[in-house]
Amino acid sequence: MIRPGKILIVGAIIAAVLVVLFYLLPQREDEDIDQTANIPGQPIISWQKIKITEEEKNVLIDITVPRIIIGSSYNLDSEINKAITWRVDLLKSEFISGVTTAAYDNGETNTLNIDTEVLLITPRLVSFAFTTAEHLAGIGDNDPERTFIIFDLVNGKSLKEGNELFRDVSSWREAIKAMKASLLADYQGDPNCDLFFAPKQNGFSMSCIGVDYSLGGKQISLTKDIPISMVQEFLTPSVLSDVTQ
Amino acid sequence: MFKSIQFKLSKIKYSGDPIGRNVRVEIEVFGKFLRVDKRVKAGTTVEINSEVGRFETDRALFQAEVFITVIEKDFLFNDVGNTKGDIKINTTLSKSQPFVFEVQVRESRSMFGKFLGTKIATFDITLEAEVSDAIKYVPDEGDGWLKVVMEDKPPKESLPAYLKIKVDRRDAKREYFTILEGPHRDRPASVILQDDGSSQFITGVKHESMASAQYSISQKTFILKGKKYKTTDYPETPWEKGLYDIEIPDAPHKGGENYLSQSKRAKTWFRIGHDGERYLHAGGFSLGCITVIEPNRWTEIYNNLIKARKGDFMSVGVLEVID
Repeated sequence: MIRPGKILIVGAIIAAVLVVLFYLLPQREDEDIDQTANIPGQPIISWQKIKITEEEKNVLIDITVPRIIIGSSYNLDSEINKAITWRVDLLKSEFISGVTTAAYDNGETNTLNIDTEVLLITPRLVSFAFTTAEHLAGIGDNDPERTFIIFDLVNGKSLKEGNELFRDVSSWREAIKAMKASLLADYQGDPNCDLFFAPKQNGFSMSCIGVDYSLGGKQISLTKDIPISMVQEFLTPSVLSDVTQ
Repeated sequence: MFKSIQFKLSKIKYSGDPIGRNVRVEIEVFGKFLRVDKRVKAGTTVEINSEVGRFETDRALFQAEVFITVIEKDFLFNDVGNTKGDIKINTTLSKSQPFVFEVQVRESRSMFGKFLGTKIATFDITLEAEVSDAIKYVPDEGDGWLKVVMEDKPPKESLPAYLKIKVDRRDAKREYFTILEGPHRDRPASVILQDDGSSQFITGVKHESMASAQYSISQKTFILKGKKYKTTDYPETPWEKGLYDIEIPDAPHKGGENYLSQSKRAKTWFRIGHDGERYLHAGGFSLGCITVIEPNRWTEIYNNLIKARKGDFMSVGVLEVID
């Protein structure tokens, strides 16, 4: 038999928990989160803005980077966040090495801006684009560079060459050939560049980073969004459905 | 013009009275020190040719003080003599400049406080200074690339490890140099001096003779120094049998970044031939390159190629493509 006194105590505890939750939940807005996109059954993305200054070297770095939260799997979101951190660290150390050995000491600030964009987020795939713009003191700026991360959520790993997105290696090659032709269609010159790509909603985002010896070894960085119609025949059915969702 | 001076102990001439054969010569110039132990017979001259040190200067006349000590080592009594003097090196002369210093060593046998030795030996120590352009090399550090600024066209470029350069001048903050090989050959560039004021570049590198490699189309193997590496290529753009130059690396390739965990030199690709986009590199798949699909073995290939030179200022060696 349940005594009325016990019911009162349980009721008081529940009320206390609700009051605590009521005050705790709004406090999350105080965190450095600009935008939260919670897709049901999918990873949550919280955005972090990081500013790094180093007065001695006259350095200013601005980074906008996502942090991935997957409620059901700590390991998986940890792996994705590790991959993002690795990419950002690589971009940062590239810049710092330029500041350390190349930049002039002329009072100008050496700046690096890393902007991250979520290109695609599905229960199977997540892809990011990192756009890097740097200015080294006393040196003419190169065009911003765009690199990518594609993360396979099913197998819990980053894709190195992205061939897993396509039916087979031959399809991967055909797709890259088609995307490269589209990317360079309007380019005047003879580029010698490495190709990077990642799936996005209804297409792919592609970049080409390298040099053009026909222009005296000029550094080049080209980017383009490729429509899905150009590559859909080469994609695995699951990726095609993710991209066209 | 920046010059490099190599200062060396050229020879020792032993004359006068014989006081023993076990001769030690110590030389100190501008903080550099050399000690040489040699058995020398009285009345003879021996060639040594050991470097005391290298110095860099942008002045026409390089002056330094030299301290020389000669010791004839005995079981009981060391006989010691020393001298010091100035050297003046004309850095506009490219021929070897000799400097001879005479050091007298008196036999110093003593017993109960009385010197018994009366013999005096004379050692003529010949030092030589050789002036040359200040040749240096890119260090093989970090990811294997050094970022520099091209002085003719400002954007930065990256230079590969062991690339040969000639230092032209130096100010308080930067070193200005000319690139002597690779795709940026003859271009002027500059780089920041290190925090302690020293150069980013290294000296004393000896390039190796050209690398000879093979690529078997049918077996999909790259062969270098008797070792085979698994590769892949792109059947639609097949390789033709023949000889191709393997170029000095042109620029860091971001395409190798995903393999940095397997090889810290994965961003270094070697172009095959002198045009087009066909490279030898580490990776997983090919779009026309010879892709080494054992990325954890890439550093071994890199180490065998990066210091090799064909002698044309552009290549590290030759690739023979066979059936």
